[in-house]
Amino acid sequence: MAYEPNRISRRMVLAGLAVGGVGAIIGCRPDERGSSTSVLQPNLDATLRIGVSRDLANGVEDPYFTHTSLMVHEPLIRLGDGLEPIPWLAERWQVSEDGLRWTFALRRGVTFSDGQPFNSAAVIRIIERNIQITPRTSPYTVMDARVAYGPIAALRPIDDFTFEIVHERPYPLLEATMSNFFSAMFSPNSFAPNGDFVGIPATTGPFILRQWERGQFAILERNDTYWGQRPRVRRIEVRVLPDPSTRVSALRAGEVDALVELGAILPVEADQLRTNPDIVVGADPISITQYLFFNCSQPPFNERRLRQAVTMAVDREEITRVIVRGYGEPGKSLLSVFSTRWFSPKGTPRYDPAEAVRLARAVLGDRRVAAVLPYADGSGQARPYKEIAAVLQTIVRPLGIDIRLQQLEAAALADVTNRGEWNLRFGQLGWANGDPDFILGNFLYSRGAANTTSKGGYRNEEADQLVEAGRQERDFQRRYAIYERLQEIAAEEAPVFALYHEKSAYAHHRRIRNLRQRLNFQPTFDTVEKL
Amino acid sequence: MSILGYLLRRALVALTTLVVVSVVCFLLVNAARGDPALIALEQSGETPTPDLLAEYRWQLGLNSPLPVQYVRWIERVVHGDLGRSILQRRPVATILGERVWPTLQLGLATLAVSTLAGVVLGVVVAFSRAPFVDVAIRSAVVVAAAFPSFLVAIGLIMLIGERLRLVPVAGYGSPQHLILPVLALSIVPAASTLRLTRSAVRSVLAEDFVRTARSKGLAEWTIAVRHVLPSAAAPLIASVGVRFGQILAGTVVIETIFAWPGMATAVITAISGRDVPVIAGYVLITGTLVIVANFLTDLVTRLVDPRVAAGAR
Repeated sequence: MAYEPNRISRRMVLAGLAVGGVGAIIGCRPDERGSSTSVLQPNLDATLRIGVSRDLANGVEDPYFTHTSLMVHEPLIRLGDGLEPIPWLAERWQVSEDGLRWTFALRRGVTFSDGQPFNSAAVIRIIERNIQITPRTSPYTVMDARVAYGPIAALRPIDDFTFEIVHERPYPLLEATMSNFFSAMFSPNSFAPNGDFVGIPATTGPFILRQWERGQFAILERNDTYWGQRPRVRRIEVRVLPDPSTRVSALRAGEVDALVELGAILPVEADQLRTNPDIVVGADPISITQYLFFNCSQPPFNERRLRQAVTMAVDREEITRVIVRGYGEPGKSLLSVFSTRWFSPKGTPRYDPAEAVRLARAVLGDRRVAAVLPYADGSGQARPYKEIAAVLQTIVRPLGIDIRLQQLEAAALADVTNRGEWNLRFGQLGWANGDPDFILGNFLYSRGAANTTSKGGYRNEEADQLVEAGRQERDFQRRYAIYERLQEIAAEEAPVFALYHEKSAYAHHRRIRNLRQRLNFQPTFDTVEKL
Repeated sequence: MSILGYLLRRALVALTTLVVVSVVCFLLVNAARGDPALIALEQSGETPTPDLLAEYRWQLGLNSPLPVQYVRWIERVVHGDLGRSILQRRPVATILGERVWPTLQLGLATLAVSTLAGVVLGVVVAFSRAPFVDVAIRSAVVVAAAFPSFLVAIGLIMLIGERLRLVPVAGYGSPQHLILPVLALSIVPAASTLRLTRSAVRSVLAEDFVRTARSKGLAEWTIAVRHVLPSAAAPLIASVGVRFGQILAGTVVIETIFAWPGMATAVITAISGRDVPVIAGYVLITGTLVIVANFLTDLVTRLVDPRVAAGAR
């Protein structure tokens, strides 16, 4: 079965139409005031100064050294605008009929920034290194080669630009699990014997990391030998400014040209910045969804109808409009509405407060039950958990459910979650590889992390069978049917539901053009221009 | 007591203090809810499977009993190794080593500015015969010190950095970057120093030798510099060590606001990640700094004021 980048199914079209309205409003597009800048020419030697909320370089012990946002390293397979796998440093790939042998053809004419050729030997060295360091934590994503590459039986070059991975058993998820971080390419000379980097690694991306200081800055320079379209700025200085109000002050003071990347601006500050005529504010959808989980293993939410009642009572439109200030899209399914490839409207829970009361009465009669909702204050990361928790407390009271709110710091919350000392909890997940198993296999499978490590306790035989089948199925249409049914089960059984799909705000001075954010929060450094 | 005996006694007390502080710190961090392995694996927002969590806990040695973990840590510390960070996997000595100097820069600059401002204003207030000056300066300082330092910091950023654009709003690397964080940190210690100076100078002003100096017709500033300040200096110098500890504690918030790459920002991340080796290393280093500062101030006080040495005997 060969990879077909342009394969579009009827279901995909329908799903696309279903969320078409979303497409129109996704991303409050950047203001277009002050169009006089459009007559100016971009300065191709410009230095762009960016303010970000977190370190995007993390040093030699990190499995990737830098975040993909910096566009320093490139993967074999990257995710497209709909989170679909698209060829990058691997030009194409195919899997054998028995599903055991994956053959990858590499892009020719690519060299690492240290002059080393990009070829099969380099790729194999990197995969072997990733296996060597597994598991390796990172603030970006944990390197776990078992998930990334599946049950490898053999890894070998066929020629200079072709290599193959042979599995012990079929692993159809490979093109998704290998995407982005898990197939990031570095020069083979970049590694120490223990798998750490020896210094700033040599890479193939449109930018080269020249210098960095942890917690302070990263300096990127255009890779003038880049194999693809070369960037439109010569240099990017990325400054780490952890405090949200300091970031906004730096933008207003002209110390940075733009604030971009995950959590760069809080919604309230974005709204304030919109009044500044010199600054353009935008918000683009990202792959993170905020969820509300039920503890299905203990009362009261081991009762399906009570979970359904709460789900029906929550007005996700209103929460997104008022509390999230429009920086999101109301939760439509466990799978993000922003990725039309797998989304199904069948996974959208109904909003019906009257039916919610009827369902709750049918279970509780005149009894009242208590439920604990622990949460961490997410205000610093633009997540208004406290406000949403207060709203939930109010709207489920008529159902006979008294929610006790418990504000904890993040580590204590993780502990409470891990011990199952909760009835309701918030959770967020970025759809890292664009495959539905990443989310549905986590939330709906009885052996998924949400139900084991986090003690969600949801168990449904049909869901278990579907998840297992989805992990083996290689045909797209049949996989879509499996995951559509799983989304439907989620809407019916409500072990968890999506509150909203996030948008991330960014802002820049008017002299900056073509700066946006992709679904995986990667800023468009490859196309940005400074006038 | 000879100076050597004095030094030995202080060193023994310092060592005991550090051991006690490290045990308390180790116990407190471990008593707090939160599994460092889980937090490290969840850094990226993904929940690990139970198998991965168990494997990682084993890798980190977190399955050993607490006393065993403590003894292992102490053994390493004695050999000059503060261990490895659970979150970052880097040596703690490297993580904190690259951040000690920025924190010291901030702390020492704040100590200098706040001491100078507090002493000058304190002397002015103490010598002032106009009640208005005393009340006005003291009230202004009390009001300023009542604002939390993070609010002062934000106000300074907006006014001096953003509106006037006189200095950078945040960052590190040049003397200009020091100005706003030092100002934000200096207000509270300067107010304390002012009050202490005023009270010490006032009590010295009531002494007979000052009256004698005045009766000789000496100028007020001569009396202040030659006679009053040396006599009032002992309690001021003694307070510097304590003040230095308070300033270091205050840097925790200020470093985050001003993106100052000091130890405080590292320890905040470590606390929320239950990264015991980094927290313990931080406590050990700051504890040592505070103990050394107190020791030096005691020593200087002893040299400046012979009454202290006499008292020690």
